[in-house]
Amino acid sequence: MVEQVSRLDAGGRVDRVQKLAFKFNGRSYTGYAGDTLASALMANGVSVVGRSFKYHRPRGIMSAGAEETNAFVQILGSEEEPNVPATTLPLVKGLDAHSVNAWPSVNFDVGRVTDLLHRFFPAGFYYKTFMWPRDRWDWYGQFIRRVAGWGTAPKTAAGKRYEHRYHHCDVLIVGGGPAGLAAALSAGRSGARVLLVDNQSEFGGYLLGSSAEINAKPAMSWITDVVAELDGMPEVVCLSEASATGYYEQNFVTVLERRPDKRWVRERLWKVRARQVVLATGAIERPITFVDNDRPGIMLASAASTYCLRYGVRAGRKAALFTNNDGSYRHAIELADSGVDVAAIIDVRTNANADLCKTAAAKGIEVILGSHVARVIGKRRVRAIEIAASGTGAQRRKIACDLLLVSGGWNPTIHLHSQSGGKPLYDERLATFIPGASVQKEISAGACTGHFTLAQCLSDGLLAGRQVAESCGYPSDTIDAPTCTDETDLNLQPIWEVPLPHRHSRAFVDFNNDVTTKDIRLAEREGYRSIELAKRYTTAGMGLDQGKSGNVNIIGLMADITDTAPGAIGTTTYRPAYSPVSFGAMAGADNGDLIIPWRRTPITDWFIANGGHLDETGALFRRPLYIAKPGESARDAINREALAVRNGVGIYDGTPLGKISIKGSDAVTFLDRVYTNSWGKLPVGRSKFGFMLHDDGRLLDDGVTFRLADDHYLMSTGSGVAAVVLKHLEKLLHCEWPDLDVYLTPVSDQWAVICVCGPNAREVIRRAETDIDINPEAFKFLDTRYCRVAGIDARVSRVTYTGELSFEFVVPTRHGLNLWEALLEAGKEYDITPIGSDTSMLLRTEKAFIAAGLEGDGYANIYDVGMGWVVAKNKGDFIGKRSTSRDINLGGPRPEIVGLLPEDSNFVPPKGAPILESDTADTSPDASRNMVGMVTIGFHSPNLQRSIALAQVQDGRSRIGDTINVYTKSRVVSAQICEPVFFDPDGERMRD
Amino acid sequence: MSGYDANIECLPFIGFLDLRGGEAIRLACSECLSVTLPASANTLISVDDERVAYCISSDHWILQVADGSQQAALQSLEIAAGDVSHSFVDVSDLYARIRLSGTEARAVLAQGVSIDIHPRVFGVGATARTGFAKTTAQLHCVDETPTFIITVFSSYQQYALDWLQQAAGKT
Repeated sequence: MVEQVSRLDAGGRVDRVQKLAFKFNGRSYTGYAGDTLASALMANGVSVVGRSFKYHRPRGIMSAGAEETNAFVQILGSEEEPNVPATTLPLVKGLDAHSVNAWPSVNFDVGRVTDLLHRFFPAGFYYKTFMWPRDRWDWYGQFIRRVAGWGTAPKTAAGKRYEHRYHHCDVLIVGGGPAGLAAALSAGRSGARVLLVDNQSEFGGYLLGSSAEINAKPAMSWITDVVAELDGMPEVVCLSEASATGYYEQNFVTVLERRPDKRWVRERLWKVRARQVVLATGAIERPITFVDNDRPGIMLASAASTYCLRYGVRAGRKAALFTNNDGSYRHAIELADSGVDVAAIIDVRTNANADLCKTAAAKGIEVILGSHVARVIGKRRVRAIEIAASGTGAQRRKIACDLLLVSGGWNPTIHLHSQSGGKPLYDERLATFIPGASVQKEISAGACTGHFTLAQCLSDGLLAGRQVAESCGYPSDTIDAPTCTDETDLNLQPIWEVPLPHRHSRAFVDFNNDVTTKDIRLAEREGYRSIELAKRYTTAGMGLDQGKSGNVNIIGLMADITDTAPGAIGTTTYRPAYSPVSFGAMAGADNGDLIIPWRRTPITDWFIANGGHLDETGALFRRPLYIAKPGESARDAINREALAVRNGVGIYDGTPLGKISIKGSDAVTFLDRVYTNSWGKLPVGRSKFGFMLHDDGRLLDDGVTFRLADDHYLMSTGSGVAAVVLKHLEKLLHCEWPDLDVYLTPVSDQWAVICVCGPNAREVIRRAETDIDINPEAFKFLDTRYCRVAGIDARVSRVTYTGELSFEFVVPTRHGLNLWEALLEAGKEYDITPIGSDTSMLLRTEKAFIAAGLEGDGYANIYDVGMGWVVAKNKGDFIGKRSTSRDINLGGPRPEIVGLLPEDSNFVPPKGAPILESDTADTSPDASRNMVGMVTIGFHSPNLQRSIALAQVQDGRSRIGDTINVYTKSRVVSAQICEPVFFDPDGERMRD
Repeated sequence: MSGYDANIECLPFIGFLDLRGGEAIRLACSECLSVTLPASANTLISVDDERVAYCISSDHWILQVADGSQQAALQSLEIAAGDVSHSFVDVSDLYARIRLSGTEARAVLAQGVSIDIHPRVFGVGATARTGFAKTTAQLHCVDETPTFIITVFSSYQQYALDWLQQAAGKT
């Protein structure tokens, strides 16, 4: 076990009583509660935490927050997750993580060879190299994928679950630093509903690692008081470890909470709709672009302060600071105060704040103005730096240090503002981008506006909180801003690139994707001057960190190269997510059995218990395709069921059928307009088949409609199109015919539908006992009657989908299972056979009953599918009439539905198989371009003891008796075109 | 796993009538059933434990009545409505109800309902027809526990139940 060699003896906010054991790259370490993995690794003296993406250069911890660009790890174990920034990963007992981009180990990585050959791998290398030959792209892809690195997706389901939560509030405050807390206090006291989110494990923002004071006390004292007050407000919700990841239209913001309050929830994705949003997202320090600026031991100045003051960890034994602004002096001084030996401050400016220089000198820190870092010595850890005078490069001297702090200024975190539609503005004084005008109901406050002093942040936050609460109707008293430690202005001198000492030297502008200043220059030379194009060509800013710390340096460099102002270059587009969101969090509960909301009929459980092979068959219903006996194959089960219906009796659950109640004095007019046939003469107690067309004359749906009373009809629709048909009809009523006295009520789930079909159906009904006369003379085909059957009130109809004598019972859903079981019992003597939807489909194919969704392909019209008999010639207009007439008037060949009898009676033509002329010799896949039709459905018919199919064939009706070829991937089979009705062509059985 | 403090329970079928029509229908309902139909969408008028009228839109109501009383209610309504344009349909089995109750019921419901269900906005007596998980539901907040009656299309009842159970951390 390695000791925490770099842990300071005292200080920090970690709980030194709670020692936590963890593993990194297989080695055991300890840290404390309150650590992040990064701070714990640093405490244990681990300097190389990973390898870079492209060149596999050793990399160390760069930051202390979400902007981390180097230290990504793969978490192992039950909560495996790739590419997690170690800087935001709270240390927990037993944490096991390893580096990414390294093989076989982070200390000996064979991928390092790419760094040695870096001159051959410039930006755009992939695009230029892996172009030829084209048929090798897949092979290249596999190779590149292996080399590319990053973590690996978990192969097993997460142990815990993910949760979504919708949340509405008056005020959403993003950021729990001084500005955000001040805004929350101000808005919270007004009584507004406030949601405060912060991506750190504690509220306080940068003050968690700062020596600043508020009201003459340590700043964290003020933070603690404010958080306690907020916690006591019933309408304020405070979430830590919660990142606002995306800002969308109408103040919709997604927030990813990483450690929710419920132990069984791994992550919770909040979907927040806020009336007002306060963005107090702070700012991110940016690095400086100089030679080998990516070496382990080089770190943002503020991060080193944070590790020291928040975590009690010394980031190095001897430090130096390389800066271009006054603000960073504070960090060098804080480190010195904590016992770190700070050798020097190297400042590119010559006009540093004199008071700060004196303070630093008093701490024993040498201040070297007008200089820059010219060389970094040490590959796996900085050992020393060489500095030189800015401008001349002369006066070189070496400074020994193992920690080089860098501060190139600050980038306000304007990502969410930009996502909300705001346009960033370039601030010359700060040499960075700040929020422009608000587009949505949003205010930025604090450091994210470029106000970098604590006093400004607090007053900004208090004001913003009050303003947004008032705009929501919650006036509040003004809160006086507390007094704060004096802070100096940044007085920054922008520096976008320190001159490189050698033509093969490299300075990184994007550590995450290994993009150097040379890559940006190359992009510019090759014409990618737009920052958006340069970004895509070089991949700068496209890594896991999305360029949080480096992007402004890239813009500044491009401005220098093109002799343009950075403001004129502009930013690239900020898109969600601000920080990575796991797929699990995106999916939430929508997985496993809940990924689709399976609908059930009252019979579904019976099918599950009795061998039903269920599948989604339309409108989210899970229906049995067939009901197999133990050991029975699918084909055998379907054959058995189909034979039973033709020779004995079957029973079928038709509940998923769509059902629409149509009531009103204009119901007949309505039906006449939406169906192709006439409805005026249909008496009460009778039903009729109808065909419904789209406006363009193509097939929409078909089904039977029953007349239940003078002004009451019940329309049946296909199961899968019930909602489509209802929407179609409602739209017509609302938009086209608002004058019609018609009301539609969807009643699909009101009724269970059970169909008894087959020659013995009547005997089964008699055995089940019914109170109506079901003899053929009294109860004819297409009649519908109210009755009692098996003691249950029902409506029974003589309608069929199988072509057999059928009785379709409709009962309230709650009685569905009772009736099903009663009919099964009554049919025992006749070996009544439950059938599934595949069997039903086979039986309808034998009868050539058209299915609009199969035989209709979006082109075929009602005549093409042989249903011209359903079109009334002598009635007024109906939907689709004009377009259907147009097809007829245009003439020419049409794709017509015919039957197919394959020459090989065991060959079942697959659905969609192309049909070509039999004299076509070409058997290549390209031959399908000459197709004259296609198979719409095919089956092996046990009743006909051979395979059959329905097909769409050009001019098919005039080609009965011709031979054509059916193409499949494996073979070509001849088939004879025949009449489509294979069984009982005169329909005598169903009319029996 | 105990999950959220929320109990989930399927309720038996009850009477539901789907009423369509204009202002005259409101009068008819008031006359024959002593139930005033609410005038605004997403509001309800609760007469007693069994009789609740939900307004779906300006010409559409769902009237909850005691199970077994549907036919008598429909007949009364038909007589009262007379020749006025209307549609009354028994939809008692179209819907199935689930009761969600407990101090954390809102936290469970908020996982699948995008409307604001904060007690200031959606307190006792509030109702809305809205998206719920991947289906549609009529929500009704019936007490301050809080307790919600979630009414879904009956073919979705098992899905809604399974969804609620997992959302509540019970499975």
